[in-house]
Amino acid sequence: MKRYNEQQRTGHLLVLIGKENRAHNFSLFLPVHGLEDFDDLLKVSAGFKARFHAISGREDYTFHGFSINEIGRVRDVFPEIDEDRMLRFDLSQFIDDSGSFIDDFAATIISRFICNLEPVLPDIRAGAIATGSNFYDREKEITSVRDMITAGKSVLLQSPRRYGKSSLLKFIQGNPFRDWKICYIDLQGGKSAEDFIELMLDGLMRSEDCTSCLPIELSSRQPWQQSEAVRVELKRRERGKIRGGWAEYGANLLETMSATGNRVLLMLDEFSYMLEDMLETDGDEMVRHLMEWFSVEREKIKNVSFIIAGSLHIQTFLRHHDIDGKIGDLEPVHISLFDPITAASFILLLFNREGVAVKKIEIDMMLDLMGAPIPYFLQVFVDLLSSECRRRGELSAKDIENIYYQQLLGPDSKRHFESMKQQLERYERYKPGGKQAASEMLSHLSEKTGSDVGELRTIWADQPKSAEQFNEVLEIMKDDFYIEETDGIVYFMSKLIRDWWAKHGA
Amino acid sequence: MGLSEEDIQFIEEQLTAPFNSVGRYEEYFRPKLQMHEALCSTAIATVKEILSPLVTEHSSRFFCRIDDTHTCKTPESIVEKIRRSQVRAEQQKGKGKTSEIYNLENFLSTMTDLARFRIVCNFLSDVEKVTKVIRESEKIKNHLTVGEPKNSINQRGRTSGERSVKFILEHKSWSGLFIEIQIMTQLEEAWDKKDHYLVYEKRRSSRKTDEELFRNNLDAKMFAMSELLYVADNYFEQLRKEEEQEEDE
Repeated sequence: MKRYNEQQRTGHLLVLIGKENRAHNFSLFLPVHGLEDFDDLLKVSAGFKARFHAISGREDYTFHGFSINEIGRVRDVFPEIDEDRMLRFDLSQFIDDSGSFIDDFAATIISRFICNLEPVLPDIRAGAIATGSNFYDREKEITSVRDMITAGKSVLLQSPRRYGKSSLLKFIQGNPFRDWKICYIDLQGGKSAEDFIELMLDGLMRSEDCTSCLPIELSSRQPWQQSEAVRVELKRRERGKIRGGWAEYGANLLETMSATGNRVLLMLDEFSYMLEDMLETDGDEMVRHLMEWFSVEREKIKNVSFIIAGSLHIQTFLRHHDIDGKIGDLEPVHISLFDPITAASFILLLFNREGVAVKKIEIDMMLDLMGAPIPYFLQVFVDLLSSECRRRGELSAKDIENIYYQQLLGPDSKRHFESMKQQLERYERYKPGGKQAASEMLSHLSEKTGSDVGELRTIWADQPKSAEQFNEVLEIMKDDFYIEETDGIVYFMSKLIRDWWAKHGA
Repeated sequence: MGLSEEDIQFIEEQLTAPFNSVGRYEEYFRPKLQMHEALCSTAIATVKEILSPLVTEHSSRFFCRIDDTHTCKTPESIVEKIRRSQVRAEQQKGKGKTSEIYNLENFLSTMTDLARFRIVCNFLSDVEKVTKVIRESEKIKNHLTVGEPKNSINQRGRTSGERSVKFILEHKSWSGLFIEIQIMTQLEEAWDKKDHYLVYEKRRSSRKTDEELFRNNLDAKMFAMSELLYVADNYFEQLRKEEEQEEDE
């Protein structure tokens, strides 16, 4: 991979031009070295043209190619060009090792253009919620959620950590369905039923859209417009009422929402972690009570739907505590990892935004090194490589490998894995020494490509009681540490996480 | 200038639906020219590379600008050129004269100036230098067939047009794919721009003879200006040589 050569200013411009308005255009500038690039340029131009004609949503545009002597004077050739929507790529980025055009990359770029994403390229957002054009792909999941919600159902949105659940919820919040009032509620830090209601109230108070869903004495104050201090004061007043009877307050709140006659969508993020913490604070009975209450209320209010976002293990976790979560009415939607094509296209665009030209063979190498493309870690890796590439000018295959082992798996990257290690503390809830046992299981797994589930059970279960917990613990570990089980064999699905455990352990 | 009535008639009669209208005819031509645009992009890059030593060597005075504003012939010009070739063929019938007849089937492989760009130089001797570099470049010869250029700079008996060197190069792997490279001085280019507006466009959009069209002898005056600028270019060349000789001494 190498830094784009800004001095290379002669090339070819592929442009999608709006049929109604030529000023509505998007373009790709492909620098060329000379006549030796002619065949590749033809291949890439023809490939983009064919992909453009095959793609849906293209009807509003026409496809053109222009010769460019000096990109700085591009307006001499195409006066209407929108330079903010012009990307620069090297020809070699669209041609694979066998000399074939990489159609998937063209499809991704044209789709992002046609969808009018602004900016066109995603930014590295490791650790932060990805919004706007930084929110990448997930079309399948969004369609599933949209179909279910518009059909009046509620959704249980599940995935392991750092797959982008919160980003997906934020995307839905920013792209509401027609006529829906949508509110995002972060339940992180909630440890009780009272907290649950209070955090729901807090989310509603921050939402302009859902002001009418609040009790009249609050909605009249337009709390979303108020300062944080005013909102805190308003919440303080309500807190007393909530502590006096959370179930009644919550029921009234939901009833108020329902009475607006609007279709309301409440998106409850970090739900399963709230339940886990609540279990520790208030015990099984209180969790059972909350889940039953919530189920009854959901049944009552037909025009309010929910997206409950949580980890994969929520059912196992509730079952283990003999709690009927009564979440059978929720339609499960799983967020999966990016497929290899989506991951490769995502990497291509991330690097482009960083001013680095990466080839398909280098992307494949990155994915081989990392294994499963967990969005968070993928971005961390791109960040490290692009910084280094900008500094040195270019990176060889050996450099990429070195950066993986020395930087991504090195001490400076420790903070990216820290939260994963912190999850180990939660295993003390299951038995004294649970943290140590979970850590040993992970170390055992990191030593080989796959381990028999029986071997792990032996590590965990030093007494019959803990043996009963094993299945639950394993389910939770799948969420926390990206491990999977197939036919009784347990393994890290992320080579990166496995390498990290092998190197650093707990 | 726009399409003439004859051009519009040609479009409506000879192009097939849905392209046989003024609103849609460009869509017929533009996609067919993508290969020519690509050839221009890569040829310009090569020419810039092979000329860069000249720029370095004569940086104090050397001026060489590549004009890429119309690298591909416009659909309008193509229509006009095809139509005129057909009119000319009709006129020549039975007179023993023959000239290239273009049509919608053959224009892509027979029109040698569908892809073109222009190199504009400071002095006449720079035109010669650039011509020599292009003619001898292995980087160009590896990909394009380089024939003798049409050199009208010192041509006698001219009656119209700018004085320039024109290479017509054919791609070795793509038979019938041509690119034209024009090399001329700044003065000749300036003349050409004015002539295009004052004479060329009028001539091409009218059926009248030059005598009818330019009753005020505009065409003759423009040609005289071209010759005057040729004299000026020669004088500038002489001044440059004298100045450089003096500096050397």
